[in-house]
Amino acid sequence: MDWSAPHIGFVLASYGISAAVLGGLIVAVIVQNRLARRKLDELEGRQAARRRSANEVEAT
Amino acid sequence: MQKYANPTRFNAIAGAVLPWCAGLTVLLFAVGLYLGLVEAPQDYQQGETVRIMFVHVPAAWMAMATYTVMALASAVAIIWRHPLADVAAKTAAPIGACFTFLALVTGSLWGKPMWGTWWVWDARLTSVFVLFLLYLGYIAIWQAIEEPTRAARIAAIVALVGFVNIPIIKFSVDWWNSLHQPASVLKVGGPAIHSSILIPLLIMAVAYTMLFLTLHLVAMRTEIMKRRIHNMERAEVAG
Repeated sequence: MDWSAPHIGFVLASYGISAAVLGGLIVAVIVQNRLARRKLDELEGRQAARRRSANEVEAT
Repeated sequence: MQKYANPTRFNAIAGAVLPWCAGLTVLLFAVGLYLGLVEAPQDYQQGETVRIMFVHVPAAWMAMATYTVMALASAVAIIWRHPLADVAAKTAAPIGACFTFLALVTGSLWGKPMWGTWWVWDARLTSVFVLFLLYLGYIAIWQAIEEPTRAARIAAIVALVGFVNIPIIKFSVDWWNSLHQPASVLKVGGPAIHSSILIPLLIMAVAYTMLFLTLHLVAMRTEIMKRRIHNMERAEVAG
């Protein structure tokens, strides 16, 4: 690539914006997945604890 | 087909293929960017600006392909009521909106040095802008309607009605006078581009496709988890 070519700024801007938007999209998708996984684990843990205590009450 | 629409089975399959999809995406981007930025020659007329094609064209193709996926999933959701169909449609929309945004912006950055203007309201550019608005409208419906079944039905109808715009985008350069060049890859008689530019372009197109597939699978798994969370929270409140 010729860095001194005319209009090179337009090429760099195109690649820069593409990298920023796609990078942002990747981060957003991964962060949402992690947050949902954490929340689901928390709820499943709470549900399991409730089930355990209910079984203990039944047993006694 | 119905057995793959089971969310548990889908999660297992997606979990197995995701590392391969992600790895292939990285590899294809590395090869495509190397060929596009280092190996591909300058165009005799456009000079270095021809390299914008390697990010603009795949984004534009994926903008249309993602909407097609969304419309197909919406049709399946309406006709067969597959449990994963509206999940697939809903999660494809933000990815498609990003591709469309990139197609518009990189197209504008290519248009300024080549046409002498950032934007014209011609058929191709306007129909792609309409596609962007359709994506935003579709996302807004999911945000605005609280009841998921109702939101899914209205969003599916909007996606199907909006699909009429896809052939308009594709054939706009043939049907109307446009500043935008006509098709030079997907055309009768084969591509009109030399292989030194065509090969990096096709590799970048496959890289964008694999990126979509990877992100879509992750987003679908997230949406399935969110729906499970919603149901568990409702059950907690109820009892």
